[in-house]
Amino acid sequence: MTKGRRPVLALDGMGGDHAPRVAARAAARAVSEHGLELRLVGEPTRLGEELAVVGGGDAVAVVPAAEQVDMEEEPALALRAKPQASIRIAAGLLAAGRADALVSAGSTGATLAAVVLELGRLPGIRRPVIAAVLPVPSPGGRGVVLVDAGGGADPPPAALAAAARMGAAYARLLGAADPRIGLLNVGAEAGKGSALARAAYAELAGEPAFVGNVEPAGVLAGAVDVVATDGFTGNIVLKTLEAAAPRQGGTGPGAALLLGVPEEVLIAHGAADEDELLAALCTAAEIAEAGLAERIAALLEAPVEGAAR
Amino acid sequence: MTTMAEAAMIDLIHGEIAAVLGTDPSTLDAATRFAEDLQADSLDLVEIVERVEAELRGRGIEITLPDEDVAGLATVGDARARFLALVDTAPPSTPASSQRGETT
Repeated sequence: MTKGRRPVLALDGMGGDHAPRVAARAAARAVSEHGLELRLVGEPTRLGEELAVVGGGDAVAVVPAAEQVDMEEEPALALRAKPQASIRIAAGLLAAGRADALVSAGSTGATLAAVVLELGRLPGIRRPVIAAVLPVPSPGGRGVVLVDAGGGADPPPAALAAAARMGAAYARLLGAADPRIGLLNVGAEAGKGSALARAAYAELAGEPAFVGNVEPAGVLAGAVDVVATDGFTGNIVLKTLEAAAPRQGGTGPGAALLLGVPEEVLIAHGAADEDELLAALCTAAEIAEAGLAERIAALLEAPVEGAAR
Repeated sequence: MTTMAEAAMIDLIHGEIAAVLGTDPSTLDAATRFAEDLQADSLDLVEIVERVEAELRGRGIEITLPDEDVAGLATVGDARARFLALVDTAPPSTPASSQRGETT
């Protein structure tokens, strides 16, 4: 985005367990309380009704979208069948330069697919991944970056290794000078784990920042800055931690970051409440203003000096 | 009726497959399997199909592969056959019909 101006946010108004009510209310508060510029994408009548309830909705720009992707649908095929789906229209706003960052509490797969279809991927990145910052100690002190936290369930080993490198770039921008990458596993030895884990270990073995396998206890104890795993396992990890320590409304970033795409995209929890979605919108504005996606892309192109193994 | 040389069409399809999947187009042939040989998933297939459609649109050929055909693409040969069959019967595109998913 152009430096020196406030970012414009696109919010999928129809995504999430409590859509469109929560999206409309969070959007109205984002504009009235935080002065954010926002385009709320979805079915205009329903969004208008929700905005009318909270008042001040006139300040929220609604972009019409006649369809939506449901949670049970296969994301990519659903997006093709529904070109007017709210998440696709919202991603299209970024592609057209009408928005700078995207927030959705809808289907993770649909959000990822819509962004890839409309914006493409960073050079050399085959599969974008979801990065969640776990609120646990880390060597860099800003939390552990979990990749993939819910994207691809069955990635090839090279994609998992690429996810780890993207996670390390993100960890650097969070303050870890020399991020340490660990591969989530059931033991520290190189031969441990599934076929995917062993192959991914081999892919990462030449990476200076890679410190080897890390067990869940090591992740929680701050052994690494980045923990890499497939999206299926990562999502279970994330949901286990959430179940063990329930989310605190409005206190966190409220969303995970999509890595491997050229713009800032945040995916909020499907059950996100108004405060959490508002927090995600504020985070999206901050990271768009900071040019996070562009800085991650630059780090991925540059040689990375990491911690010694 | 729209005409496009079969060889040029195959080059176009192979080029878009290679661009999406990060593979060498010269390694592709009709028997190459999307899932087993190229580890392509449904998002990859949709992206390939939409890129080919966009490229053809830019050349004045307006076609849309039926959604059920996209889900059924198993090999590169399947993609070639589906697109070639459509291109042979496609009307020329017009500016008004050249946008998919246009926002207001």
